[in-house]
Amino acid sequence: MKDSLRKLADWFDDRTGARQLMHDSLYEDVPGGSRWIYISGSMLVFAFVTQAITGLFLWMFYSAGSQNAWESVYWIQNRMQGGWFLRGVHHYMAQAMVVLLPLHLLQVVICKAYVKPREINFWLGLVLMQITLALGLTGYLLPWDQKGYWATKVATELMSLPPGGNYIQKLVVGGSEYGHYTLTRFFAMHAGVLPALLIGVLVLHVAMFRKHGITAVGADRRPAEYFWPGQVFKDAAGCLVLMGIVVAIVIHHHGADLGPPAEPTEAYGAARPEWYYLFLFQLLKKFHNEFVGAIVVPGAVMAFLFALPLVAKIKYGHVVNVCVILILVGTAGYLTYEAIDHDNYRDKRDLLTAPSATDLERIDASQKFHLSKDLANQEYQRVEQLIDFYGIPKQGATLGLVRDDPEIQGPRLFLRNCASCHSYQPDEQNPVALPGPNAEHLEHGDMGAPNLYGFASRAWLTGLLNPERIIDDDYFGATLHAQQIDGGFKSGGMVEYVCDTLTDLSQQQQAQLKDLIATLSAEANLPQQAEQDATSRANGQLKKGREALVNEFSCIDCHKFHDEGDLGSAPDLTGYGSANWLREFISDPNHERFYAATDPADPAANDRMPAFARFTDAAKNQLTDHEIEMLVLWLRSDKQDLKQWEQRRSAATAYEADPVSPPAVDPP
Amino acid sequence: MADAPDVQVSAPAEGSAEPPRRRFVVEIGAIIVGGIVGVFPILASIFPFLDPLRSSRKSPEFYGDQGRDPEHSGPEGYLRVCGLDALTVGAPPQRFSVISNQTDAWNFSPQQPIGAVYADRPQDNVVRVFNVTCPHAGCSVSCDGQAYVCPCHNSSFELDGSKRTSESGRENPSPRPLDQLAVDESRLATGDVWVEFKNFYPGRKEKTAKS
Repeated sequence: MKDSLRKLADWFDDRTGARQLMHDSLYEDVPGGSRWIYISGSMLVFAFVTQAITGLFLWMFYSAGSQNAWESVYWIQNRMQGGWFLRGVHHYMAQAMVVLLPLHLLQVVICKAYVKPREINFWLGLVLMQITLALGLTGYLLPWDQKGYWATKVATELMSLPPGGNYIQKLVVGGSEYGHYTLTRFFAMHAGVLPALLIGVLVLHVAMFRKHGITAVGADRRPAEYFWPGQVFKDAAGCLVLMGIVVAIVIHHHGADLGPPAEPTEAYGAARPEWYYLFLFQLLKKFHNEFVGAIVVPGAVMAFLFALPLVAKIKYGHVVNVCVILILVGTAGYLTYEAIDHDNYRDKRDLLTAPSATDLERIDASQKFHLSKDLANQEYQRVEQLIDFYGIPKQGATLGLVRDDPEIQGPRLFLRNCASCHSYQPDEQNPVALPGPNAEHLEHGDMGAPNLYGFASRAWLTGLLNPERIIDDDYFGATLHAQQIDGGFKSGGMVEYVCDTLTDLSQQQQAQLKDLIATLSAEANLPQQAEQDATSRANGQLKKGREALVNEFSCIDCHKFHDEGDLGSAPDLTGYGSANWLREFISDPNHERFYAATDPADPAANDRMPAFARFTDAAKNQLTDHEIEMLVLWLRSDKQDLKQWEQRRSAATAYEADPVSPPAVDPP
Repeated sequence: MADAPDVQVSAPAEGSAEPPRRRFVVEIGAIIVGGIVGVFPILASIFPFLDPLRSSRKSPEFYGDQGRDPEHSGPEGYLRVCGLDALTVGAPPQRFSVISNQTDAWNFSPQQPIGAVYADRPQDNVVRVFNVTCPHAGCSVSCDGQAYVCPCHNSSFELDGSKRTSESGRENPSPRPLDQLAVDESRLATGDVWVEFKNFYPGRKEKTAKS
């Protein structure tokens, strides 16, 4: 048995020379013996091998293409056993490489291992560094999430700065705009071109290192050793520590972060490059000229690095080199710190006793940065819900889920079209329980129209019909409806009515007003209020409320409510706040059904609200039907609970098909 | 600065300044630690790599387990192929797509063609349904009205699915007859053709359903 094994080994060695090869690699001379300081090169090789292997496996699940990239990464991250770990290792080991690179460089420069005869090997090392950084840049885009998309976009836009740069940019991006080809090209660069280059240069780098041997400082004072086993052990132990750190970080963060899918029409306010590029990001902010900040200065630094071996020939050149490289690393470190500090400047809000104008600007920018991040997190969680409920359609998450989701699109549309006048803020005096996400950024605009949070809910109407509340900014306080004329409110208007008639109500009247509010609010058919509405319908409150609306408070003197009253002098209360009512109101508030009067002095006139879709020719309208639908569904929180929404929808469909049997739940 | 990866082969001791025992400990340490860091990238990758072996996932909540469209989907894996009146007694077999929810890695598509069958009606109350996949090597067979013929390696089958010997006597490479699918008799009685749609491993004598 042993004999035949030896024979086999002999046969193999005879044909390959494996023993000699093994001997050469293990019994390399290490003058001065094995030392811990030599391990950074091996650690870099280990990190690269890990990247190559984990990268190959990630490749098996990744799909480059703008409708598949984010989706396939989402699947790796959330559905594949151990997928988050694999992706995390690839992500953080890449960062480990970028941390090890300057350490390796520092070591080489400080130990004077870059001078004659090792100049070329030093240059090869710098090329390896460039390739590694390029790998980081290309890899950041591949998940096609908001942060990768927008951060990489900045990098490729800057590519067009040097002369002829627009051609380079087009070649890199695969066209003038981001799309399928950007991903296929970046992926080919990231997984093919750059690793192949890296391996090629690495082989030369190692071969040349073997030719010149290590640069042993003070070797004459210590006994020489072979590479095996002492240095191998030290190298392996270094790799083990690196591995441990990476694994700990991966587990701590549960893998690499993934943002919501890229949305080219929604700029991401917290777009930042990977942290190891933050010093370049910060550097760019220091220069008013992008060309200088992004190309000239980094280029000059790189040129200086390449010139190190030449500078070393001058007297004191080496000392200069060491000093400059320490300054460079220190500066990069400081810029990185500064970038992170500025993004978190809001934490200083309470610490600064006398904040300067710059401080205030930074605090504001930092708050916006964190708001964008929070909103992105919310969006990611919402997309997760959508995926759990509907799955990912073939069009991908952006086209198939995100753009049709009112909870994501509603706030965006509101911010763009409504927030200059309306606010959307939880009202502490009239709490409405909307379980929606944070909407703190939808604050009052300058023009002051009603706060639409919980619009048409009982709580909202209770405020509207309260003489003290209707004149504050959450309702009509900042509108023409609350205009004062001759010491009184615009005569014949809603505000005048509420302030004159709804004060000093008897207990009975107060109860009647409550019934009225329940009835009017039930018109909206709000999903959050479905149970309350059903109870009130069953116990007769809605009927009493209708009595009060028509007779006691004679709303129908101005408003129309179902068969009572007429259109023309005030908004129609039939279906008030319902999806259909809102849709028509937003489309054209000047319609006969709402504010019909054309004279602005008339209390029935619309106060400055634009008609967003009054033309039959859709191209002329400010908002498309789809956009209005998104706004309406969001304002009413119709689709917040997906399961409930689908139940209501299928009940409505069933009711349409067979109107005899009433729907089990209220149709939307 | 030092070279290259973790090599795990011990070589004969050569001129060393260290005592042999200490050297041995370092050797063992180098092999063990080197081995750990050597297998790490593979270990990190192996679980996702084996993910396809896990059993298939359930549909998203909205579509439920069976799909929402009662027209096309039923319990126990039966799927609707066509109405009985679409098949004329004695007419040549017709090809139908089988519609069901499709899960393709991250994509979920409701009501997609997921396969195809041939169906014919030799007698008034008898319907035969065959999976179009050739049991030989997995090509798709077609029917010329007389027989099912596979375009790849000359397998051919009678209309009842049994292996056919061609007139020239050429050998039929298929290991088994065409894969017939079970038809739901109770639904057939009410005028609809529902089959238990399955794909089978080709190249085997016995009919084994893919899971």
